[in-house]
Amino acid sequence: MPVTPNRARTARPAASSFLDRRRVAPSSSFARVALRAALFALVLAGALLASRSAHAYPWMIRHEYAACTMCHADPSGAGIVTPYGRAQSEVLLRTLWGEPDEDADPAKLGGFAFGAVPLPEWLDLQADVRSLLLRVSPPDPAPSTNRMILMQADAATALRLGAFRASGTLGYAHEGALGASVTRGTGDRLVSRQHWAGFVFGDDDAFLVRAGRMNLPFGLRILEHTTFVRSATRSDINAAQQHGVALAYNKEGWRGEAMAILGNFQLRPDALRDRGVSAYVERAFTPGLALGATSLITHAELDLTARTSAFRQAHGLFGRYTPVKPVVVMLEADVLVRSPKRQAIDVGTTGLAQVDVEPVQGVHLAATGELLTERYGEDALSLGGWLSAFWFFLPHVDLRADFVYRSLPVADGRAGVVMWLGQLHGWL
Amino acid sequence: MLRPRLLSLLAASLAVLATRAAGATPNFPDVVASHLGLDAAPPCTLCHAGTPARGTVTTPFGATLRTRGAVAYDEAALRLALDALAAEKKDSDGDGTPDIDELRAGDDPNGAAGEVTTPEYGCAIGRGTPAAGPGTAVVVALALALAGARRSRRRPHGRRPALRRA
Repeated sequence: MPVTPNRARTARPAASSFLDRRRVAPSSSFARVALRAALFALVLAGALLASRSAHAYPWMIRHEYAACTMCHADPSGAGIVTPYGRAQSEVLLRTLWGEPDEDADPAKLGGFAFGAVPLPEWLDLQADVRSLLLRVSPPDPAPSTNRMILMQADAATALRLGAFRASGTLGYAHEGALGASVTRGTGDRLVSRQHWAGFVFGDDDAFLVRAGRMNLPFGLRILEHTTFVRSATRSDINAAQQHGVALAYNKEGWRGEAMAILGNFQLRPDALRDRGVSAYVERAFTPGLALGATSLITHAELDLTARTSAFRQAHGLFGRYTPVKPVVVMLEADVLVRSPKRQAIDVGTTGLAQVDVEPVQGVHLAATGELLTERYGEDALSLGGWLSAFWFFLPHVDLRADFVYRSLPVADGRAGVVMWLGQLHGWL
Repeated sequence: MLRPRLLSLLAASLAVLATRAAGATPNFPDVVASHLGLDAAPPCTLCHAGTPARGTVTTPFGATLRTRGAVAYDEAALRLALDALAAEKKDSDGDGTPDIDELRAGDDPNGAAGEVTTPEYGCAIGRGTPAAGPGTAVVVALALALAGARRSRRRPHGRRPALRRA
């Protein structure tokens, strides 16, 4: 196993030697030109910035990190990072510039406020701001639109007191993220995407039981919250969290979590709340290959489409594979079932395939294909393709640009929609 | 040499980003309001159940709009779909009042008269009626009670693995 417990105090020398070997050599003309060209392209296109809510990088499996618990307070990944995760953001995540400082401590530079504000070991703090520049080009004759969106302005905290664990976020949303609303209305609101508490137990704290508002344990936990697999299963990390009780397990190549969904108590009326279960289990067969199965069954007293009570199900498989270190392939395929009371059952499917390549540390090029049909037997297949580039170019800062094309079914055929996204993400 | 260039380009990026954040949900609510002569733009929940995203246009009114050719971000297609609903006096929720008439009257075309089916978001603070159900506080209190009931275990803080080596 790559994990070496009880060596926290030895982290800095190990990291330094690691930096020595993996450092990007700025004197390399190829690296310099490539990085320069990538930055220029990003700026010239005006496509600034990239993803969604906080960190969620399942492609870290390329570094043999199949599990998430070491770097995230959430045992299934995403959200506030641990001090270990902060150090890894300096060692593995971002592009390294110049000669490494022999005295540099990645845990400090990656720390809260760049290490300027030391925190006690039981406390983690984090602040994330993510902005999006979006250009949408629908079919003619509709005009293209340009918008700028504040996607995320969240503060987060995590506590570790003995076996006790807790985490929560509070942020501001000018628009969107309705499901996470704390205050009322659809405009400027306070939002809390997660707030939970629990405790760890078992050997090496392999188990975590917690209650509160949490990300649904389902499928690949990816940043791209508008992908079909995340939106159709309502399992994104933007605002689709639910309140409930969950048990997570992480040990010896296995990870999984099962959650009893009690409903989103930030949504009314009660009849609209989903209640049920969601779970996944993933096995890392090798350090670079992990396969999982996932399932979700919920019931709502009032399904707005069916106008009656309905069960909603999603069952699928997902996997992550890194054939060679710069490349990570991720797949997910889900069957969707909606069964309203005394009405016909809708069965559909959704899937995603993504290839992420990291030619230079911190620089990612990704291609994603996706599909969605919510009813078999009807000509209602939606297709999508993403070309993405993102760059962790400085400590605590990353840029992302996406080109997205989607072919959607409409009443008299199909319509193509082109989207350009640029994102800037900064965090403390 | 690279660093000054990098910083200048970064500054240019930030300058562009400093422009004003855009207004409400993508163009559709404003288009609905202006096209139908409404006093205010309707909420995203007129068409979306939950997060406004692909796959969540599942309200009765939203589903009807899709069958009349409404396409994401296509204002022209939305106007045509609204005109189609008005022409055929479509009543998505079956309450006897056509959708467009309900919108113009300030009613919800997704629910029968007097029936509350439009999702509302937010906790008990703020405007509106208090949230039903036990709420977040009860759930978190449950976790705290579970943690408190469990026998305290002392273990060293901050036990972490060493950083990954190449």
